[in-house]
Amino acid sequence: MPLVTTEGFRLIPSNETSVSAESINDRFVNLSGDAQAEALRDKLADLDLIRIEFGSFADGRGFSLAKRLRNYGYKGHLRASGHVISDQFRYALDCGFDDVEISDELARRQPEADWVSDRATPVSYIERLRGRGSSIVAQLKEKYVSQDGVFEQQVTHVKHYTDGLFSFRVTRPSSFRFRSGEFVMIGMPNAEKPIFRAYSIASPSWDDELEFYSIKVPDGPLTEHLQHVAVGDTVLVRKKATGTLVADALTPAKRLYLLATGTGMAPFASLIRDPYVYEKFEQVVLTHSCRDHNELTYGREAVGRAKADPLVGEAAQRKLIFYPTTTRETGPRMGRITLHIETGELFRSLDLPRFDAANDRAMICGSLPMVHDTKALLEAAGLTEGSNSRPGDFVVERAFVE
Amino acid sequence: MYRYDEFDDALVRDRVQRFRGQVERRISGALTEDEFKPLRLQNGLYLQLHAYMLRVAIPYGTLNSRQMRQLAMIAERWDRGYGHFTTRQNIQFNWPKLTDTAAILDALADVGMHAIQTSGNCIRNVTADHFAGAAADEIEDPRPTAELLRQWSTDHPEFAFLPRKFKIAVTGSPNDRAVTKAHDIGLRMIRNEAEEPGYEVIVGGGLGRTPMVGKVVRAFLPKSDLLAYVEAILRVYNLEGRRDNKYKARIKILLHETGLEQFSAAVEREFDDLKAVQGGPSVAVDPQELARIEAYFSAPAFEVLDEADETFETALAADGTFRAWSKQNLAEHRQPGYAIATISLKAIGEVPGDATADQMRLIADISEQFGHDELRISHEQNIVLPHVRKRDLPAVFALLQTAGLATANLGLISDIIACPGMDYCALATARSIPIAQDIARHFADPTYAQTIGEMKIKISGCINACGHHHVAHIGILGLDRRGVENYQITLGGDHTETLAIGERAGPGFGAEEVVPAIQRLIDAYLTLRNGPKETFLMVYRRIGAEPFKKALYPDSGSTAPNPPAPSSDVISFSGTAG
Amino acid sequence: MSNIFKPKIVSANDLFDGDVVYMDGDGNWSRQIAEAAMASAPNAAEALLARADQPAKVVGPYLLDVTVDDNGIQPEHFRERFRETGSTLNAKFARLNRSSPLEESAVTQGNR
Repeated sequence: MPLVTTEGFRLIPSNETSVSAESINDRFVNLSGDAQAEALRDKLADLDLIRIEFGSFADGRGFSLAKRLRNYGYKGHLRASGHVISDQFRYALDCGFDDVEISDELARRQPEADWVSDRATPVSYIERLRGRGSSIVAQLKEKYVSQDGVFEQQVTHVKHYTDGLFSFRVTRPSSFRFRSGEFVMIGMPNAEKPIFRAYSIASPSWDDELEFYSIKVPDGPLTEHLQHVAVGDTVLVRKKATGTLVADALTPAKRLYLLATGTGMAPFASLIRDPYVYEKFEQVVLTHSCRDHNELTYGREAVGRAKADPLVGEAAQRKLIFYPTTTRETGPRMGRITLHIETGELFRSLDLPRFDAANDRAMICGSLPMVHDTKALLEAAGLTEGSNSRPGDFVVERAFVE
Repeated sequence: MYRYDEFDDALVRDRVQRFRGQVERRISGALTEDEFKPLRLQNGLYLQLHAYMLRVAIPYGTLNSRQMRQLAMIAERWDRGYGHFTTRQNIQFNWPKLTDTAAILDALADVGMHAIQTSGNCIRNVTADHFAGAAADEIEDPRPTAELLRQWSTDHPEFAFLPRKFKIAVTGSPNDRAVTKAHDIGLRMIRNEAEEPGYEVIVGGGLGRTPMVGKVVRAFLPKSDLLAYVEAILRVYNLEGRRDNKYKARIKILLHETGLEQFSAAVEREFDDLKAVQGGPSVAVDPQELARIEAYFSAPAFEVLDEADETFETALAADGTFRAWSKQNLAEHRQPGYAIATISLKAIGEVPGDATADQMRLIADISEQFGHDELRISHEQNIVLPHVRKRDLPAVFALLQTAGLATANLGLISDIIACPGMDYCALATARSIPIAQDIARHFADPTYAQTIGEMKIKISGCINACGHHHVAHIGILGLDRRGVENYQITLGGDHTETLAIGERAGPGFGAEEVVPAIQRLIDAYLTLRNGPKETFLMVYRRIGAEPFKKALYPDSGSTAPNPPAPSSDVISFSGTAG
Repeated sequence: MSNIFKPKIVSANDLFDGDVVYMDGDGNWSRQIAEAAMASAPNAAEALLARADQPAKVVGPYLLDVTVDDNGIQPEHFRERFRETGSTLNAKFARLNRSSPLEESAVTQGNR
């Protein structure tokens, strides 16, 4: 019979096990739920251990009995025994019990972790009524937020695209500023020291919410939890956004290529809804390469949203060209984007000239090999890489995977 | 009204997360159904006849437009586009999926609402006068007390597994609109001779199988002793209340079997003990916390107006429909130029207490535009706009008319309370809603209803009396009599401060016989009354039950049609605990 | 009368959506009463109920009396008839009984 203590499961000390029901010896007492605490009132000072039996977890008399004994001044050990379930552990401790003795069968169904997590909650109205509300809130914040400079935002929308891809939106802090195409560190309030990962913001800088597009990495320390977010959950957002995929990092020219694979689509979903992009460029070509068709859905929707957008819709309809390809599933347009550039297929089918440094600018966001190969092709065409401090012909960012 | 801050939010979110885990553990087998059931019930989730049902608390019946809109959203997204407002200031969604419930609870938390302890053997949603903060007759707003009790009782470590459910109601007016004498604890806010504020504490009232009128256990309790005293009552009940028979497990039975004197003594002894122990009662409320709670309930910024309003008077004179609605559905507000308007959810032929998502949104819009963004749910299953300028009433009425919400029947024969009955409820022994619909349709003529005047018909579909039939002028109880739905009629009940339990009139009636039976009672009343000012209840109290029984059973004396059913004939299903 | 055995079937509520379900001859659960396995003797009824103890799928399995006529299996008691046909209300809210195909479409997709 395991003993559940605040430290976890323990074995019951052998000298505490052999007490017959309702018997009183010098130091140990067993009580059933209908015991009268008054009868013990005078003897409490002499007792080391009182064990209160719970015949059924639904019979809450033991809680009041414990409370009464403590009110009578009992300072010794108080043990609950029998059918108490892990969901009642915090109640038992609050009522004055020190530990709970449970059956092996219950311990199997409700292992140590269940009991530990039941206790984890520091929030209770009773504590607040006692005047400890603000210190509890401070504790919570400390627990969830590792350092200053983090916003706690609420999830407002979640959409799952495939088994491996989903997007979500969170409320935007009014003081949070970023440029379309930038990324920010986000995390979840699920650990003492939350894990943060960089995520491109998929919504434009003027939007009143923040959108993210994510892959679900099996056992990834963040996405493992993030993929389960639901509306109303809290997501932590670091205060500073940054990144090179911004229009300011490119020198002016005629045409902008946005070249993405997978979730590298995210920063471009933001940029294609930014009016500044359409002011700066006459034409915007967005390419997106994924293994299968259903992985292209998010990008397709983003283009649709841009073209329907009241702010940029008109410009997007005139200037934005979408060029999706699949690399595994058969479809009308197949193959990696590098292949389409090398063979000239991209330019032929869109009736555009090949890359040239005078007219073309580019942003690349995708897997490491794709970034590497595409960059080489751009450089071969005479384009030079730029940055925030020194704008150039193209900019690069790796799509963020844990 | 009370608004969640980050503490409340953290607490409710934690609870949702905990429940999400419990659902997962039920599915995985870590929790048995027996273990899971009390946990889901304490989060408002029942398993009913055809589906799960989620009961959401509307603490002391108060909510704002944003909350009402969220209820509409939930109804549409996870349910079937409507909700049912209950007799205990809750709303029920009738068709949620088990695996959607945590998401619904999260959506509730988004607007500062929850379903915590709307069911189970614990302290339930604390109810209060639905006219609180608005009524002309109010001594003190009961809502800060109700909110204090809500917080104190939420997730209370000691009182989550009581012998049976435990209901607390608070009123701040001498005219009791909160049915305090039919609650486990009823609190009436009063002043003592020194004009100090406090409570009259009433214990052991309740309807159900054994209806009882609550008894005064403490004639005057100083306000500051409230939580200690309630703790003492609950501890005595938790330890001494019967657990051998669920029908005898309520505190009213304990009080009845122990006797008032002895019960009061036990409570006082516990109370004294509590005050004697170091640190006092479990919760000595921090005065700042109390002040913080009270501050939420300060009155809205009322305009200084004349009592009479020209727009209102003109509309009254010009529009007979508006006049009828105003006469019936308005109540006196404490602020000149304002009125309390009640929106009837009893349109003829509709389900009492039901509102569609569209109706909820319209009501939300109206409250935001014309009602200081406040709404109340009454135990009579109607929705109250507590603060409306009289000047705005014609506009409000016109909007209500667009959505079938302008029925002018408050307090009249078609303003019927009905529990969900066997159309939804696993405990029901007969249907309630169709009976209510039949009666409302039969008495649909507004002139006739006016002639009959104040009439409270309340229908329960089983002995648990969620439809409050015991305290109806004419109460109807649906039973299962040898495999057929059968309806017993009670007479002369009263749900107000002069609470009275109705008297059973005699043998029950088949479903089709109910409307003719009610008609016979109404005919008798109209014949027997001394003019239109004498209500049904007044006549009943003047002349007693006999003339009405005679009307109900015209053939009796010669042939008793249906001998009263012995109780063993009444099959009661042991389903979900109520 | 009480010693005449009435045919019985097993009903319960689905764990996930609470809907009324009946156990068929393979120990699976169906929304259709017509597919229910029927016991015509007490020991068969007991065996049926024992087999229905499937907490991972259903809640509260129990035996109920039925009759069989030209329309198939009919529950004896009116409560069971309501369970079978769904809520008896036909008001404006388009209450759907459980066998209606509309029910599925009324289920809004959750967040996940």
